[in-house]
Amino acid sequence: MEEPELDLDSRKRIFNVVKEYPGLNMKAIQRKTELNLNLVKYHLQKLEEMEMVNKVDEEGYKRYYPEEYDGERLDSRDKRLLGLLRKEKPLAIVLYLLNHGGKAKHSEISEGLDIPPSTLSYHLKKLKEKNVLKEIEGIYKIVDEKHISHLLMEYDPPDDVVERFVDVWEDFSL
Amino acid sequence: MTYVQLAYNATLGVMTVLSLALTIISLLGYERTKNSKFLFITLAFLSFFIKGIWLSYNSYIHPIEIDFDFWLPVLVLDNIILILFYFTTLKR
Repeated sequence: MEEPELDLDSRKRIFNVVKEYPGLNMKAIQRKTELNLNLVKYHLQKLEEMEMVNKVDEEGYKRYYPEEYDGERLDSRDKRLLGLLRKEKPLAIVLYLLNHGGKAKHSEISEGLDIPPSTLSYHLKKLKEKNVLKEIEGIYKIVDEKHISHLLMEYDPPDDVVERFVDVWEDFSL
Repeated sequence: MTYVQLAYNATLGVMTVLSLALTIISLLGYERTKNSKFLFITLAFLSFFIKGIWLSYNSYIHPIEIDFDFWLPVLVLDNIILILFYFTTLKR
């Protein structure tokens, strides 16, 4: 399907950010585009109406995804996965497993990533619920290694130290 | 140089470096968001950094006049504040 023409420069910038980084929330899109938050909100609504992007509510965060990527529609499973892989710990766990033949024990991941066992169990449970991982006799394995690798290559995570700092302080108010 | 002086200098060094790092990160946060809140945060961390430079300068120029027993706990508390800020805002 041919992409509808976007006459406004800011809307195009917003759409390009959503395409490049699917799964960002509104504030992250605003930071990437350096536009006013209300303007971003307005254009995202318009883009939703035009069925070019859609919004998914994930654990209190509204994340935005392009309807299509390189002519292919992102399915709901991919959207859920990308939302999860936008978070630091789940991403680190998945990358650790990918770098270690796609499987590892709880203790190995905990030591390798320096994550306390209880915190790791929490994130592993979330990853199992989303069907990213499965556990067989205490060994955690990526369900679809090829698919996850493909998603990670296509959708580069934008997270960095400044982004984390901004995330915490932007939400802070008395 | 006494142990207290050594501890003072080490604590001062940590505080200065940590506050400089947080100042730069918060300034980059302002650059990215253009939200004036980050300018205030930058100023807060910059104040710690200026304090670190000021105390370093004084400990170099007039080391004898410094009451290390008084300033060491003050600097340790400053470091605790900065380290807590670091872990709160940069670690997930």
